[in-house]
Amino acid sequence: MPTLNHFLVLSGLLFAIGTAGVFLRRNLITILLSIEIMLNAVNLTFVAVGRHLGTVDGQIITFFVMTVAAAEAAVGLAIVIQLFRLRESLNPDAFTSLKW
Amino acid sequence: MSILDAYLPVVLFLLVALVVTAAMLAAAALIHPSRQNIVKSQAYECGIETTTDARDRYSVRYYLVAMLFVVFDVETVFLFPWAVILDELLLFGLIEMGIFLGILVIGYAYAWRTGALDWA
Amino acid sequence: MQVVPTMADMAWLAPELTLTVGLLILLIGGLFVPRDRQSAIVWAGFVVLGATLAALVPQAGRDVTIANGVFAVDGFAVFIKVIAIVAAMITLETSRHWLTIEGVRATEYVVLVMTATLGMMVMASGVDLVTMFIGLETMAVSFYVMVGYLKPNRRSNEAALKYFVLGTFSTGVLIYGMAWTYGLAGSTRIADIAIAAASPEGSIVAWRFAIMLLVAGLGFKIAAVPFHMWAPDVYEGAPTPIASFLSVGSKAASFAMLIRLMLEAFPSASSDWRSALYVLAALSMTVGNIAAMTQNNLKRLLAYSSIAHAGYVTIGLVAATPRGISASLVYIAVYACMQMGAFAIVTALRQKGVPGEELHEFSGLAHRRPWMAFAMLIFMIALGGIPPTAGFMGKMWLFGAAIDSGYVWLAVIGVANSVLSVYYYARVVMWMWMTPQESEAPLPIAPSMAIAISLAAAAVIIGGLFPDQLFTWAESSARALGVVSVAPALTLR
Repeated sequence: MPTLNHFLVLSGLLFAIGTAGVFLRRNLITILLSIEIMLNAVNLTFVAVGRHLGTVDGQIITFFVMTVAAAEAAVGLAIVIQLFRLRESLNPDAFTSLKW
Repeated sequence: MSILDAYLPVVLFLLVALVVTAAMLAAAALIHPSRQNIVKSQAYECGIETTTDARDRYSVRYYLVAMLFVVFDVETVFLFPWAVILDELLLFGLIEMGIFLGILVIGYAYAWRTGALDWA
Repeated sequence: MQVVPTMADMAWLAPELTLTVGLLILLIGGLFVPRDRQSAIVWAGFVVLGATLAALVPQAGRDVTIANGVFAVDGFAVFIKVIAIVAAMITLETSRHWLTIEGVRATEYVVLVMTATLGMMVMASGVDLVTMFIGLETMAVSFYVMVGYLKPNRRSNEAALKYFVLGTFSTGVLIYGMAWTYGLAGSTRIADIAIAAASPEGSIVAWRFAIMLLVAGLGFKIAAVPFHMWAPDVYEGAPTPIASFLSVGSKAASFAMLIRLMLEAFPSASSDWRSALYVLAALSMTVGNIAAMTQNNLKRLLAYSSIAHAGYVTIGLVAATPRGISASLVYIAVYACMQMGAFAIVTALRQKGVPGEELHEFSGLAHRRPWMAFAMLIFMIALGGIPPTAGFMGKMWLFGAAIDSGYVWLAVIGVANSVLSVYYYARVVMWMWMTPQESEAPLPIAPSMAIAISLAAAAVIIGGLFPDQLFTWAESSARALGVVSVAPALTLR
């Protein structure tokens, strides 16, 4: 059976993939997806740890993280759509009105 | 080795699926006669004639509705743990969830009133 | 475990409940206010925030933990909450003028300022990782929207995007740290984490990893170097009153969370986080001040200056003595006054067709609006840490606390940076007095704005002349945290 360490390694890898995506990908939608991957890696950690400890806390926290992720996704998409209307581009390198 | 033991059936199943699929595709490619025409290469959608390309752009309004849906949809996740222990929470639980849903309704009413739900 | 909260719990939550009910009523009520009566909404928001502040009064000097130990009502929380609410009130007052010029809807704006304040209050009181996280996100999501509030403005949108991407990323880092902490300690309660951390089970490396993730995640929120790169862009692009609220309210609440986490959850690991925060403080002060020197946009200049000030405040946390924490709290309060005052003047310069953000637009302000230039002079002197202002007293306590705890070099870096910073604050003053005025256009100021600026300037001066009262209050607030349990630093790092 998979043990706690397997889950922790998997979630660590997912978190690393998400982090790399945020910095390396050049499409805003992909960056948003990468952030979602990071948050889901965290969820996996919480659930795995909660199961290991034998408490439901981990699962409850996951609900909160999911809600927050949904709220963030909605706001993020709204910002991206607004920018797209102004700029017709999803490449973050194209947004240079401010010094980066 | 325990993890490998547990997943051995899955790996076997995966292998069998891959081999069978590959074999069937290969057999079909070798045996079937190839007579192409326009009707055959068209997209098949339940027998209805296709009108436009499937890779169409969605209206941006779709995203607005989808975003509102996602936010309200995820809130229901809190109803599940609440329902499980409702017999312990009793009246307090009912009032509490009433307040929670009431706040959601306020948000919904706001979205409605400001015209976020108008399609046209 | 008791599941149902008691009425007593609810009574302790009075300020938060007042604010929540108020903002919900405002959200719906605002829909029925005609477009030319938007000012009424700002007033209503102001009144609700005032009521929240009043509901906070009976909590002064109390120390209880309610709702199954996830929510603390103590002096520390009250101190930060007062700063957050007052900052929100000043933000609303300075926004009135700005909302008219930009011609945007007031309802959502006012409600978002209030939700952000609610988030800050929960952050200040949270003694459970989940509570803190919810507070932080309530605040952060409100700010993402507020930064991009000027929908047709390209810069506002880009600022919102940058803040959103880096903000959510830092949230991910922070919550990952929380997940590790929960796994190692077996609980999300701060008190339980402290017990588990005192005799750590499992690998020490894992504990360090968790603490570093938490510090990095919060480092983004307080804009400490090397997690600062979003701040100048976001402050420049965001609506000016929001940039001011972001640099004060968000920073104060994030500092509250950082201080509470480090001191109450990880006192046993103090040598680890102290060395991390030492580096953060030294880098923030140096990089912030050096980068501010070349800025010609005042919002960017204030952004870099706020990065440097995050470094100063961190010094008190590195010292980690009651004196150090009190000094940090005092400095957060003082910083709130001077930063909001300086931003209010930038907001006041914004007129129809005039951005009022560039340094050259301050030319001859001393002749156009002498009292405004004088107020700006006070804020610049205070930010530079020159007596007789509160900025000087705050810095003196911070550096004194660092020396007391054996961090002499950190104090030296701080003093050197203060001297350095005077250069660019003096530049602003030079533009106001020494250059001929560029524009003859009238500079109408709303009375509410004038009052807000005058009050901030008065607070900075009074705090500098009679600092004892503020320091006593901060000290009793810091005592609520039980900082005494932290051992003094043994060696000089």
